[in-house]
Amino acid sequence: MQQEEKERRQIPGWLLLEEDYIPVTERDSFLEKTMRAILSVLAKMKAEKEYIGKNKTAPSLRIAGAVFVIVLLSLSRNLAFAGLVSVLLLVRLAFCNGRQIKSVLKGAIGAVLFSAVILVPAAILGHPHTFIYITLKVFLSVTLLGILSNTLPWNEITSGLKSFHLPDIFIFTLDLTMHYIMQLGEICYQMLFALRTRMIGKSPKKAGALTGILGVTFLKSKELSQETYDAMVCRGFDGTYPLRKRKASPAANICYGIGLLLITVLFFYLEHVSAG
Amino acid sequence: MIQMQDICFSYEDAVVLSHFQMEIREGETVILKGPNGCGKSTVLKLMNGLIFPERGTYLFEGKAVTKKTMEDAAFSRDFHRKIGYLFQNADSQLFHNSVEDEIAFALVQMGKEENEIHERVEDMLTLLDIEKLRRRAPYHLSSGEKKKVALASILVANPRVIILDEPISGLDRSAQEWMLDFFAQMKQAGKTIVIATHNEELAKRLGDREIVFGTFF
Repeated sequence: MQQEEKERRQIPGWLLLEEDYIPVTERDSFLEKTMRAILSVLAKMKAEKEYIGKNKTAPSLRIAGAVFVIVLLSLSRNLAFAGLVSVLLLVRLAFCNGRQIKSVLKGAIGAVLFSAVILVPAAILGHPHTFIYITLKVFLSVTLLGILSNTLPWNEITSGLKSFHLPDIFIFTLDLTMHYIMQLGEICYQMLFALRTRMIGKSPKKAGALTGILGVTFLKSKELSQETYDAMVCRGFDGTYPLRKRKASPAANICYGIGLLLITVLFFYLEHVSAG
Repeated sequence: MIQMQDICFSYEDAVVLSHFQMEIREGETVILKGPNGCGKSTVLKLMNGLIFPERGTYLFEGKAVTKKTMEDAAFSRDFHRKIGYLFQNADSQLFHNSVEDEIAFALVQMGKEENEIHERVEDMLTLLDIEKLRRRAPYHLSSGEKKKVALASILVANPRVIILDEPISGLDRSAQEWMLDFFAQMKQAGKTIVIATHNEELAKRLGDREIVFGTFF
């Protein structure tokens, strides 16, 4: 009986012969382009995950500072103030690495182009000042937010939001969302790698493989959410989500505060000068 | 068959491989050993043309495998057909809604006739003892079953080289035994096999040669 079973499970003849296969030269560009696009986005996400900023200022102060400067910028009617903020941002940007600078400027330039297109009528109808001023404000605001998001990890942004008395459940949901994006991104990344190794010809059902990957990712996300919930319950989760505060350097906070104060003073001074 | 000369590779600032050399001859079974994070998986990805070295050359059957050569659709398809790669996590490899479709994927791409596809899929189901799973969704299988399906899905294309990343990790004792016997059969059949593993028994039973990695730092 066992011998029979063994014979039945012998390696088939074709597996011992050299494969007679000549691959088609035509590119299956849809699948390849889609894969490349998804892979590049996931690679970027992975790279961002690995980055952790070395800023010692409290995240809540940095978030509040960024929002405050954006409010001042939008209220300002003086081009000199926008000039001052752009100098400060340029100096801050100089301390970032190449990848961060690229990422910040990419977002900012995109926003500038978008607002420039919308404001073209203003320039044509005789308000070039408005065109330049609003575009500059958009550029500075987006650059500021870009620097913040590129130098402050997500977990610190969410813990910073806690200082603004946002509900625990809101922060918890944000934290979990980021956690799943990373985990599911990793799953997609691995599956696309595996798919690439198995792409040995022209795929007749072009999108089939990609929908399969998305389907598995969806199933995995359900499984992950159940596992996370179970793990949290096992560790005493009762619906509250207390966050530990990061130890921030008082000196860094004081310096940051003084900087913000100086910007505020300059804002009022320049507004006063321009009104006069 | 596989030659890596003076390979350097790093992720961001972390150097993973520095002036790495390796040669694998046809029909050999080579074991890659070393602690976690020493670069075994990176070498496997390089061997599969998924990533490319910053410096050095990788030759497969005497032909250079570079980003540029892999952009040539015919070369890349032929290369991937000749190398079968079993991922450490079989979940990563399975995305069809039935085991049969999963195994047939490579054959459909190769443009094989329907009767040949059927015959080969049946052979694989029998060979790997997974006939009962043919209609099941791979996602819902056990780890050992998933591993078998993933293995069937790469073997069906009749690769010349089989690359296995921790092939028996996470399997129970009987599934491990089954896998070891199966790999021994593949070895006897003359396949070139590269295995990254921590498992001493696997290394002893199958390996002709071991390449031991050290940590770079």
